[in-house]
Amino acid sequence: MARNATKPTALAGVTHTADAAKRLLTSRIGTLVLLNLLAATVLAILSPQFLTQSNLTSVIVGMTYTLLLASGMTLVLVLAGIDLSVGSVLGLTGILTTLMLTWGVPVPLAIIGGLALAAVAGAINGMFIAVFKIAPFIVTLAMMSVARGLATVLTSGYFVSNLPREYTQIGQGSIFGIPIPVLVTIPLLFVFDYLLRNWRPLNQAFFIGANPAAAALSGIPVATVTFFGYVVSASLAGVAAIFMTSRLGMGFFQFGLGGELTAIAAAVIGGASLRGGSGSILGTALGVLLLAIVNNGFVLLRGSPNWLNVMSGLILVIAVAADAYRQRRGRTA
Amino acid sequence: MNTVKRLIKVSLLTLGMLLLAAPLAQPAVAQQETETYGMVVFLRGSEFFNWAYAGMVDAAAAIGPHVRVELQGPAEWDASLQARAIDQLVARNVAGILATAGDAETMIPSIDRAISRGIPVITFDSDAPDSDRLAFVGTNNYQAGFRAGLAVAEWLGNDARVGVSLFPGPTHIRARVDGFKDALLQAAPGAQIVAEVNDEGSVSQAETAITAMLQANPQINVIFASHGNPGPGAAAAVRNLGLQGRVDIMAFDFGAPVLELIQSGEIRATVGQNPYLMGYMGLMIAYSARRPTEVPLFGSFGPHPGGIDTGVQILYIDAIEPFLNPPSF
Repeated sequence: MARNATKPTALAGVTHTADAAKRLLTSRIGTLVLLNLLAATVLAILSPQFLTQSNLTSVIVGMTYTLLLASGMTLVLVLAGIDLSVGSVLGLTGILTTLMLTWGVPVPLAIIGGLALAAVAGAINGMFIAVFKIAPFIVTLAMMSVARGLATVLTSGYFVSNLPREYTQIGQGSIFGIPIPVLVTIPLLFVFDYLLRNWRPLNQAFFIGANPAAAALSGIPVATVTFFGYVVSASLAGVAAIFMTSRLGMGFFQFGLGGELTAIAAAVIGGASLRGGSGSILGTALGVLLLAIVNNGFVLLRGSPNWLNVMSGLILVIAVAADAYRQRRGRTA
Repeated sequence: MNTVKRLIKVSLLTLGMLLLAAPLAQPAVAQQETETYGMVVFLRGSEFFNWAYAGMVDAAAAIGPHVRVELQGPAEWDASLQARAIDQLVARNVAGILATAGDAETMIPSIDRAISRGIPVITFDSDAPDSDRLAFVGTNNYQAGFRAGLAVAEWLGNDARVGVSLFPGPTHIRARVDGFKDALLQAAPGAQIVAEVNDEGSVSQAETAITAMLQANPQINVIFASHGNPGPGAAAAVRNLGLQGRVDIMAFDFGAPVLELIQSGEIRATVGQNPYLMGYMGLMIAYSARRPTEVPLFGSFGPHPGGIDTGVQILYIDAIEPFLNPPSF
């Protein structure tokens, strides 16, 4: 304890850049960058296929769905909430959009309709949580069940297929060699990351998550921000649904099944806390990347499929334990 | 000698005619009393179970006009609602029930209650092995995988280098993969299973995992999708890497996307289960179990086997026609 207490003074003499570098390395983001680099380097050495363009493309395209879900989840976690319905909202949005397409609705209208449905699902979550003050866990668990149930009832488990080519092009096409889902998702998340850190209405989410009572007393519109947090989360799940169904050329009621758990895991690895008040889109993206690299490594290095889930679970536990350790050190310091 | 033979022939013939005539004589009496058999499914309206119900309807028509059938069960995947549907059929004292188990445990009390009331219950497609159901009619998954393995051995012989897409957990998937391996290595000892990937049961994950698998193992020339979902994912992976024509795909089941990809030539064949036969044979067994004989081998029920393997067909492009227009109810 005494050693920790003397640390800042000892560092004070060191040059400013070294100080910043050290802070970055010991921060969550720094650790994640290092871990990602480490995993990628090891994989690149062990498997010549890792760095091929086709492999990296498939890894990144595969990541986009989780990236979108996990980014929305991060905002909700920052608000000290949770959104268990994202996977199901993805499934339902995908079903509704593809059904509309098979009914002959023009592609742009079907997409707008699908995204609107996702936003409405988020608004229902947000209303019950922000206005009626029902626990987010309960509300979104109910939405998870309702959305998945509707997707099932609408299709009876049938695949929705024979989608128009203009639609499947969205997921399967690429511009300048970059797949369209990646081209849309990455800039979208950069904007989201910037806004969450710098734009006041969104940035208030951190105060609300850390201490909702104090936030309300200081005049922050807690209910409004919370409400829109869930709308954003569900809308991003809707975007993921458009990409998934157009890329795979079908709608299926089980799309997104379990997606909420991967999203929560990635966000927590990325620094979001289930107690609220912390998290970042960049960290979450690095969490998603780490899980995707490990996943890819497992296949490239011919690891047994049975061990994959064990590995993902271990990463989550280690990340959470490291975070708890750092927080305790921080507190004792 | 000849006389003895003729005598045997004649007596066999007579016996045969009597056996044939016996059921013919019965309906005259039974016709007055209508018998209703219920089928209980989950995902009611789905293609697979509509095929099963079509088989049940045709079996009822074959037995006679006194047999009525009806389709019950929830539109969602919920075994507790199925259990309630069974309870309601039991309350109406139906003649027999065919049920597919949304999960193996939840429906046990309802099934056992029906059996204790003397109503034969036959499970089909998905079993509830710990219940008192009289018989299970469905696919023997080991044999299904075995057939797929034989077909792949036929395609590529000793040159087959196989990548398998599966997800750990369900025993039916393990059984399919085991059967596949055994058949392949038996029929083509030089063939190899090069890799197995976890598709987590999803189409999108299958695409990512199979793309990586194909890159890590460029010698793979055929993919076995051990369940319904990875087939389209495998086709997408092959497309991603521009390997069309160099990697064959053996898919599972006949969902619409798989059929479309067979039509477009991206999937070579699929392992087709036979839900129609499940419904058909299921009703035949229930009808028979409804009629106790003097032979004390079947408890208070009539003769019934403990189970039937309804088998699979390997469906190529020329055989998928009937599946493009599934029955609807």
